[in-house]
Amino acid sequence: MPDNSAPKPYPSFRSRPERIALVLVLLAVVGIPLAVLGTQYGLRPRLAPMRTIELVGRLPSAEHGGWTPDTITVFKGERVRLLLTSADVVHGFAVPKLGIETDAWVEPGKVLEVIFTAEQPGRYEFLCTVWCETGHWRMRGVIEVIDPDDAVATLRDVSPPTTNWMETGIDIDAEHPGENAPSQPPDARRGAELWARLGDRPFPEHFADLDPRLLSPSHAFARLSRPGTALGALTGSLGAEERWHLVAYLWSLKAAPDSLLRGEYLYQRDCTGCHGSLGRGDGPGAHPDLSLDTASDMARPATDFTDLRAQAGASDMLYYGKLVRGGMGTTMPYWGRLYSEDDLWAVIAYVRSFAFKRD
Amino acid sequence: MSQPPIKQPGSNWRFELTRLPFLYRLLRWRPLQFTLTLITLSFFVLALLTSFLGTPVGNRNFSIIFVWIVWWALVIILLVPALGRSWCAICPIPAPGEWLQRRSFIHPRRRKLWTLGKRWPRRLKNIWLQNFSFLAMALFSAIILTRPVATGLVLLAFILLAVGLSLVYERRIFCRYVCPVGGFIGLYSMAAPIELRVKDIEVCRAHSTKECYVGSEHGFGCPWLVFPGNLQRNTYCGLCTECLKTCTMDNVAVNLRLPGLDFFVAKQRRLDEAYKAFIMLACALAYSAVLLGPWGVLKDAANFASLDGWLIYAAVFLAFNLLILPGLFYLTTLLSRKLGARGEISARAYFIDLSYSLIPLGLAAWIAFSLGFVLVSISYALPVIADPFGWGWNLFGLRDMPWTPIAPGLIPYMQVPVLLGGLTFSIYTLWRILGEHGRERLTRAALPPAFFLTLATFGFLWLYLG
Repeated sequence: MPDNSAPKPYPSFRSRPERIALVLVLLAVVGIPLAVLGTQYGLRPRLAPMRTIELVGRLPSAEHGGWTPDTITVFKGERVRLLLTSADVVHGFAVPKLGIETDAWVEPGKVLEVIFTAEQPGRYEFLCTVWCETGHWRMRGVIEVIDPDDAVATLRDVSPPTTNWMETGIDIDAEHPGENAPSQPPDARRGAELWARLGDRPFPEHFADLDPRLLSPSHAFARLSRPGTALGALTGSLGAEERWHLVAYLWSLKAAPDSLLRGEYLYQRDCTGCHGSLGRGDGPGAHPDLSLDTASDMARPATDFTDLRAQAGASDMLYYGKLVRGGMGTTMPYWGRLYSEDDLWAVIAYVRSFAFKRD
Repeated sequence: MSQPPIKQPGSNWRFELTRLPFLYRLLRWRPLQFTLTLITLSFFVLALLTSFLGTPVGNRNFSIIFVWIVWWALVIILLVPALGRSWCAICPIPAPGEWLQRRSFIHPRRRKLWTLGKRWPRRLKNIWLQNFSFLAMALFSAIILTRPVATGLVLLAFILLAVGLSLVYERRIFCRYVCPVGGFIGLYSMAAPIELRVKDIEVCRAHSTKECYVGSEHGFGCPWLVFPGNLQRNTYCGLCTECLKTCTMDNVAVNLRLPGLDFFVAKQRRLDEAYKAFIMLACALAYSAVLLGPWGVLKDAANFASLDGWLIYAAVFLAFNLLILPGLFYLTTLLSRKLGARGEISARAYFIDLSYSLIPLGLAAWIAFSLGFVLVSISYALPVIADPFGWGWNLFGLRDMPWTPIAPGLIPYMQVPVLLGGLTFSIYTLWRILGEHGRERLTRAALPPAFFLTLATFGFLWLYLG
């Protein structure tokens, strides 16, 4: 055993071990923070082949809720990397008009990378695509794509809706129950079979004098039932149920299968939160117990698309107007700045399938 | 006049580990403590940074995972049961204050310590402060354990307090009298199979210079304000091994021994320590119910979902810790005293003595409780090493390692033996403590407190096994 009794001088503070220790402590206390911050804010952006923007999602009802930042400015043609994360629950992310529609979640504590290049200047809205709470629809933001040579284009909405529903004079905030309504969901396939038996020419040609977007199923049914017309003569022997099958057939001709699939994708992503996946208006956002909004916000419940009378009374244009502008006095948000014209009609065609059976 | 020798309790078997030349040299190597502390300090700095700058999502933030799962598992499952207060020797929290006080990292200097050198108030020379600081933390634990910023604030407050106290008071006052963690580590270190003791107390008595307490060129005086010659329990020995380095008589040893011998040092039992045992047992029960239990209402209340709910939770929690559990145990000790005809000892002293029998069960309960969440959640450690801040880093390619609970089906099979082992150890401790007051009517005297211990064990079993 060593003998501690031998006198030994006190080491100097400047001794080598103390100096090494000081350097090591400084490395731990100052070096680690500098290394971390330097890597995150110096090295990584420099090494990244493109501009990186961090985007944090929070529940809209939380403090600083929504997207942070909610406005992102990039240059036309610039390659941009978005790093998305959530500070609370699972969110989703899409910029439909930039073609960014990832189905990957924006998860708390994880980072989702989205890379894009915007070639056209203008304003592109982005949104949360996972129903996160009753105020989910407020979780939106804007990517402004700047063209330094064209300031006006920068301020423009990209590919806005082209149909001017306001010119039609439809009061989209009023109820439009159909004067006629089927008692059972009509079946487009049976309608097609009927028309193959009866028809003299393609069915829509009998409605060529009308704007099909303004026609409601109820009106179409009335025309089928009108005596003294060619169509009335053809369908006069049919019962009401069969005539409704024909109406369903007429609507099924409006949308191509791929459009219907697109409509289904958008509906299931963006509409189920309130309208429910089966269109019954029973999504979690419509549930009064879960609603954090005031009673007035939910003064009108989410539309039930399986309500046959309501579907029969609604023209496609009525739905179009509601989609583009949003529902006044309800939590129905606007979609005009998010969806393209084709997307809007695709969603409408899909919504009809809750009332009219298709193949 | 010669003093009577200090009787080392249960001194029947000890193995002097410091006889192993390698270990002896290692423990006397001055840079050892500094080196280990530097490692823990580096983790501490990273934990502080991640807590304030990283993602608020607990399971993706280094601070939450490494402080409350990795560190906690290390301390309560491994270090305390096996090596007593060894964590205190390498804890980063008192290190900056101690280095500042000494103006040195490794070697002692001739100059005086850089501190006002005030003496700690006599009425605070107990662990009541640690009892209450632990309770205060425990009340907010559902928040502290899950919110990185809250964890960061707690860590920051600890280190600032430790530095501040070291500048005003002598030596490691923060560790000895304030640190809420040190309080229970000290209590449970009594169960450890390791101890630091003097080899021959007579050598200490005859030795006038007492370098172990005042320091010398070979090392610092005991930072824990303990005279090693009086050491009979692990409770307040921080295992820094300064005395091993300073003792000129080579009279200090680290021993392997039978676990739990410190429970039988009758003269040093105190009410503050007894209460620590109650608080720890009550908190283990409460935590098990809140964090592992299926009661949403309880979780909401502890989580501050509403102020009213939390106030009710706080009141019940404090009452359970300070009144209900000690009160029930007090009733069992009254009954035990009556049944065992031990009227010669005061009810208070009897209550304090018997309270020490709760310590093994308390430690076992904490181990069982910790197994329940550590094995389930420890796999979060790999992704947070890869991405400690949740900034999208991917160090070592581990970021996307999935959450993989380790042997979740086996956890109850580990918890049950741990709890039953703790109960057995507690009843043995109870038996020996009761034996100090005479062998007559021992079984009768043991029945009520043993019933209490068994009931508490079944409480834990019910919570863990459902």
